[in-house]
Amino acid sequence: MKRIRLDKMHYNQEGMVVSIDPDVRGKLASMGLRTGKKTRMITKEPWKGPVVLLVDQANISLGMGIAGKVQVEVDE
Amino acid sequence: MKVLLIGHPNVGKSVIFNRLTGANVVSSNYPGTTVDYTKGYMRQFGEDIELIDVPGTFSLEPKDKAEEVAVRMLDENADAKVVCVIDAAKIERGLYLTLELIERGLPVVLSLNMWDVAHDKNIVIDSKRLQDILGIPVVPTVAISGEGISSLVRNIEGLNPSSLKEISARIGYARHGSEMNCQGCSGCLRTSLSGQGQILDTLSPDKKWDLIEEITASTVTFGTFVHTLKDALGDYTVKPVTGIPFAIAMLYAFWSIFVSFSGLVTDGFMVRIFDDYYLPWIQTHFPGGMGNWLYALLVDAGHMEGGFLVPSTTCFESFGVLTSGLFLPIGIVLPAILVFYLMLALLEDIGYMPRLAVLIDTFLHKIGLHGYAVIPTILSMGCNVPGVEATRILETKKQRFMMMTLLALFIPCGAQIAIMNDFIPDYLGFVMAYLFAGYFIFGFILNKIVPGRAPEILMDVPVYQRPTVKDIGKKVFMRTKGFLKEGIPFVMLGVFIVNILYLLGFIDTMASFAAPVFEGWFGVPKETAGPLIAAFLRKDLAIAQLSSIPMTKYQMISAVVLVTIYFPCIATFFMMIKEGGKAFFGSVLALISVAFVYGGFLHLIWILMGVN
Repeated sequence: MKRIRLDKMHYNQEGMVVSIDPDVRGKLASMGLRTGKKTRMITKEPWKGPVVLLVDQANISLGMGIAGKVQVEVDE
Repeated sequence: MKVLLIGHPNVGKSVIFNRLTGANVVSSNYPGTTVDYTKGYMRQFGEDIELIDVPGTFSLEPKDKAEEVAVRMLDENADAKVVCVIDAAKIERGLYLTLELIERGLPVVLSLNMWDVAHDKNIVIDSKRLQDILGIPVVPTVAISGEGISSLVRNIEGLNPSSLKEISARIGYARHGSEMNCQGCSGCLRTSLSGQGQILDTLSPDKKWDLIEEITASTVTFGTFVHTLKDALGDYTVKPVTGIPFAIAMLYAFWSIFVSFSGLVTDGFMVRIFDDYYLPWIQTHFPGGMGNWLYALLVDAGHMEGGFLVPSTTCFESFGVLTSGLFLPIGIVLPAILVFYLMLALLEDIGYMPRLAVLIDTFLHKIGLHGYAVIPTILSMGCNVPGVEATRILETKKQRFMMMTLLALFIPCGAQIAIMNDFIPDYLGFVMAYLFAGYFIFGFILNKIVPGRAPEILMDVPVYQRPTVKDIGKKVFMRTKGFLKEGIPFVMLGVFIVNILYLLGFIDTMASFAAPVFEGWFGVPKETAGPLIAAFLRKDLAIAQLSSIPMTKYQMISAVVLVTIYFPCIATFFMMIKEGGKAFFGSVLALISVAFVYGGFLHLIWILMGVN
């Protein structure tokens, strides 16, 4: 197990959210992204574009900066 | 009685609203179209119930202007009943919003919409049990087919608020397998929820999620996840390797259908009707005849040919209120607007727009906007007025100000594009290229000088949906009606005022007065002063006028670009005041200076190219 920033995940990689920066916690919680949640990276847009994640059964998109405020645990 | 309809974007809330009221509302697939909240009435329980369609929101901690509106509406209608519409296939985050509503002490009925989709995805929800746990009515619905709607309505009467405390207590019991005679003791709550043993009426986001997981654990079974064709298409059109080529192909197809269809209808059909039948008819039947001032104003001023005043042969040349004033909006603009709105409605209802927003975010974020900005931008290519209105979906004042300014400056409306396509088809590509370049150049500059935050994108990417003929038809009808209502009177008024100003010699005076600026700085003939005055009323009208002034190709491109950027048309102007408030004045300042600089800049390019 390794702890990385969400935006460092690879395509199709799965991870579990371990911590979220308090200033985006409420916003992300309302869209289903919370600590302890498993998520999968669907895609990352080039040139530091946003990422698209699978959370529960929904796809959500977040900008790089926001994604950088989320820590996930992934398999090596 | 008042009923508020609240829910996430794209869960079919507006469809339910339409079913209950039968009123004219636009039901759409991206966050933003129901920002303007819609009100309707339904007759139920022997009274007229006011139904309010609240803008889609993810939480009651608002993150944009639309969500702010949602929260404000809840505050303003403290005595209202609430129907919370959620996507059954995404029940967890739907419950988050539901708990937030319950937390506020509101009487809520929960509609588990898209029940059929959840079923297809092997998600089984025990709605009866959910209802017992939440202490509020829970109704499975399929808005598109109408299933469950009447049951939803029946449950509105006699609705009582629940509370997080009661829910926590009940879920504690459910976990222990006993549902009998619970008096709401707090013992189980201590073990299951708050470790400190407090009984809470409000919960932090993390605690809410703990509670939701407890609830879903005992009411929802997720079968094997079914990856449907829709999901696969959804993924491929958002992944850059396949998504970007698709987006380019799609936008190109959109553009070519738009220009070819509108050109075909105008040239093949409208021009014939207007020039071969309507014009000769009105020329013979309108009293007065050539030379009469009223006839000249309303029908045909004619033109001099070899010392004689001859009547016009086309509706465009005649420039009368009843000829050009009708031909421009109906003959040229209407077919274009119609096909534009039809294609846009399709893309919206299928659910493509959010994906386009994600793909384009990379570029738009570089100029301080975010992917959402693609929605006001594309809407503006139909008409700037709804485009300016749609800037509300952007998060900060800075972004809304920038978007509004860029739209008013660089995005030509469908009417303008249609006229350019008809009168100066060879230059259309150049003009659009200069406008888009300006959009990015000045977006970049504005981002540097305008103070404020430029937050990043955070949005839901909904699954694709099959659009219904009824919803598409309604949307196209509503939007086209909006154009007809505003467009036709304004063009006719524009023709009237311009004719009067010509007759009074005002435009000639203005033209000679402004000549140094026009000829020296912008490098266009001074006669363009007339169209620029008309452009304040209608830009399409101004471009039609420009096309009859003799000038070189490059002067024409400059003049058309100038007409587009120099000032918003009057309808957009008022919408900007309404939406922008004080920021509007800053916007006007930016508009005038940018038009001046960019106009001069184009002239400089021509000089450097040696074509002027």
